[in-house]
Amino acid sequence: MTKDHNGKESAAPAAGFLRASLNVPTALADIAVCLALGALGLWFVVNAAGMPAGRTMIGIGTFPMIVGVILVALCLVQIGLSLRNFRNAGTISFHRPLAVPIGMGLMLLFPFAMDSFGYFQTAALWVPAFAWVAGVAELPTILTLTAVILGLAYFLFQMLLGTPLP
Amino acid sequence: MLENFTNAFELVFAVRVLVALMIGVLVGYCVGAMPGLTSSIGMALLIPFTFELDAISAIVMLVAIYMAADYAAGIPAILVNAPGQPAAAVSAFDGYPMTLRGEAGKALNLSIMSSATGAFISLILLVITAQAMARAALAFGPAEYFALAVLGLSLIAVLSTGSTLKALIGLLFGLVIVTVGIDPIRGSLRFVVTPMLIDGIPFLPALIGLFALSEVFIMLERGNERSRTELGVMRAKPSLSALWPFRRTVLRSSFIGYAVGVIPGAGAAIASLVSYGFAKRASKPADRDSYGKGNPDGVVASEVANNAAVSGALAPLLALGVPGSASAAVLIGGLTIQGLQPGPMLFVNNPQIPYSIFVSLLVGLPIMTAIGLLGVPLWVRLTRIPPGAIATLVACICVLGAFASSNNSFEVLVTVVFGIIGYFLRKVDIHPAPIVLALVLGYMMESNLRRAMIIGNDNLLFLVSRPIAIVLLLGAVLVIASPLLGRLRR
Amino acid sequence: MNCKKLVGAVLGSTLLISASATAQDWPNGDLRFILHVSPGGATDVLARRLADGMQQITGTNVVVENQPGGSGARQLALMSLIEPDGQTIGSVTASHLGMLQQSEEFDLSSIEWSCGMVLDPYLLAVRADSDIQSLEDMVAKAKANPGGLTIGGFGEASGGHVAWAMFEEASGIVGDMNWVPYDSVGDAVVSALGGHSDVAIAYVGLVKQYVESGDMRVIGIQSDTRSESLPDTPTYAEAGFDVDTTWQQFRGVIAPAGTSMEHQQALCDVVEQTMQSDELMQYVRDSELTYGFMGPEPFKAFVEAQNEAAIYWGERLESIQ
Repeated sequence: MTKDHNGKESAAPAAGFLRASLNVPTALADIAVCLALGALGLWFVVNAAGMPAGRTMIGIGTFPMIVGVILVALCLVQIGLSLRNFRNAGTISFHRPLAVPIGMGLMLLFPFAMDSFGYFQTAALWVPAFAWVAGVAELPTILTLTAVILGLAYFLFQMLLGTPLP
Repeated sequence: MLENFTNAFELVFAVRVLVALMIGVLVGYCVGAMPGLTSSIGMALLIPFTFELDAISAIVMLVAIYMAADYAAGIPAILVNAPGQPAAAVSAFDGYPMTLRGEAGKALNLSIMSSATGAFISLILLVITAQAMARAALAFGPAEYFALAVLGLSLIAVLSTGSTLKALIGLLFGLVIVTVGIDPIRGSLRFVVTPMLIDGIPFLPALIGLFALSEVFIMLERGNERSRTELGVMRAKPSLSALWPFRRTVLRSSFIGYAVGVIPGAGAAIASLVSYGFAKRASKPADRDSYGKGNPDGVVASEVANNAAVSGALAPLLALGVPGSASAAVLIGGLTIQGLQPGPMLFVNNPQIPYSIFVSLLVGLPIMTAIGLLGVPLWVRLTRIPPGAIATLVACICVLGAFASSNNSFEVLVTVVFGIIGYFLRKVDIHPAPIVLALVLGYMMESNLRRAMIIGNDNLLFLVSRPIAIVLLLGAVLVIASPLLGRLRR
Repeated sequence: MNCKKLVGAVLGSTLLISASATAQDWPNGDLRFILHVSPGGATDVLARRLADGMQQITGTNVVVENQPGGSGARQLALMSLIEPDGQTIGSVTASHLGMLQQSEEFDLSSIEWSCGMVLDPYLLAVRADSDIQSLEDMVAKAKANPGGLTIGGFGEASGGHVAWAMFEEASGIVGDMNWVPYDSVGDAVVSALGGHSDVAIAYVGLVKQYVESGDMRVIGIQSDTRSESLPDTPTYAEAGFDVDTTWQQFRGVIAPAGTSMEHQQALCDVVEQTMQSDELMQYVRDSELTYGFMGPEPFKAFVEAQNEAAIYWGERLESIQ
């Protein structure tokens, strides 16, 4: 449902550092995702195969083994279908293709930065950075946003709920 | 019984009890609306304060949190696709698309009124049937739980929109990763790549990541410009008559929610999923495609059921002392602090307690509805904040919520990783719903299958040797087969 | 809410300056109490009660934190990172022992076993309409039909499982009944109530109400004396089975490895005082626990003995399978 939302509405992507969109053939994206999930399934199957069998029919590794094998099989079927339909499957658009990976990078940094510098110090810098990536350009909005989030963290979480934020 | 009720009314209508009720409602409302904070966390936080209170105030306050949290959880689910509690994830299926269409006000009003109605109907069911239902729930043993999990997973056939193959891939992905951690029977470690994963992939952070954070990344794609539909927020006046078109769903979902809630360990999330699946099955074939794309019936089905499940979970708690959910377990803790032992003797020794709980829920419901409906215009105003700012706000709340769920930054990392996974899966049309379905049911399925095999001395026939299990498994076969049959007929 | 605490803290500390001259500088600021369980369970409630009482006695805040995960592994991982200055303590139960055996990271010396608080004997319970009337009856039925009866309990190689292994050995029915592991002792009791397990191994507090309501019957208790609330239930010895009765579920307080003996002693004095307060004694009675305070040295010796038994029986259980 998200795809048709993205696909239909914003043919011209919003303001940002990169206005262009990245178009990837749907079949290619499907294959890439299925390869990744299939590899994950395979890892579980291989590991499960090495687990000791117990005294019962269904041992430690049995369930992961079964679901892993089914996952790998389903991924292979999907890859097969995608290859057969490669041309007719259309494309998936990634809008603002730089913003998302930068946003992901920022998000990944957060837990580590929070542990080493403390929550409030990190958030004070992180919120403006993320807001900018999200396309908020007006300084007052960014400042208000930062204040709201720090306030929320302080009053609701730290004071009221007693969350020990680092 | 009537005498018990009048006594309870007198007890509850004392000033300090009403104050405790209000505090409970407000705390529950805050905790529920915050993704990552569940009612059990909210209740546990307030338990130390109940030391000083009398038994009735303490219990009324805790129950109010329990109820209000479930009730408020739909708000962020509908507004920003960030379920405040696991069960509200189902409300997001249709509630969030409604918001994207500019119908946030309508969706919120509907969700609040369905919550209240579901809670009310199931409360009546609770008063009448608590003891009998709790006894019936005892019939659920390993074979029955396994069958229930299979029935739940079979709902994938109705839940999925778009490619069934992709929905199945999502489901299996969930089933595979749910096996990480301590194995449920032998206690050996499986697939534990870091010691932090000993307890498995933490459910709440994964849920927040898959739903809310993946949505943040999708918002990043759109930048700060909003689409036309979102600007035209439609005015929606709350009225009970708005629920009338959904009366069948309301009734059906109340019963489903209550019944699933009674089964210990099944809980509100499963109740919502089952109720949603049945609502979709029961709809006209022409309407079925609109589920998952903003059909208000989906919001009603989910919200009615997950609130009905709250009363359901109280049945085994009050009648048997068996906690049906994490929150119910905390409630038992709260009762024992007051020197009360929930269980078969509670109705005999302290009938004022269960009846005060009934009455406080009755009194609390209108208060919650009022707070909820008054809040709608404010909440709707949130959708007018520039999308870029909303994305930032949701991202930060995800981080805070994930951290607060266990006071650990590892949970934040899990949230982010699942947000990224969820984003890419959504780009290829693998919806988070089947993954969450698997995360909710996978453990129940495996552990009970293995327990059943121990009891049945490795005979698979044991699984179909018990009547309830057979009925549930047949139900699963029907759910899977009926769309196929429908296709054949066409 | 914080204001109230603060006032209490100030009042408390002024009163206590003279009283705690021997406790030197402990506690030096807020205490952090890390629990290995999620909120709401019996262990959590007892710990929070203890924290509340300690707060009143020491006049400092005792901040309770739930860090559940891996039967306490997560709590230990956290505590091992914390400086052992006596300001951090943790909850401990017998289930830690099983985890320590499995863990490659931790062993008994990874923490200081500061004090024991309560003990809880194991018992065997059946549904009221069960045709198992006594321990003897159960043993006879198990022998007659190996694999036909099930016993439900918490996990594998858990305290309850070890207790069961001890009984099996003493009664000569090793492996004749199927051990079905549940996620908690409470779940095992429910499985017996629902007739899915023939017998459950549990504690007094978990089954008492079902006995009162006539839903359950307790056929034997692993203790030297009968329980006050279950006067009709024979001990194992009375029923003719010789089982080690020192094997009981315990709960106590731990501190990070390296916490000084003075700090531990001071901590245990406060814990003992708190445990003997009317409120906690009442709570212990209501919860059907046995008061069993132990200071640092006796507790350590107790735990070591328990651990040896756990290792011995853990291996026995492994070899049976």
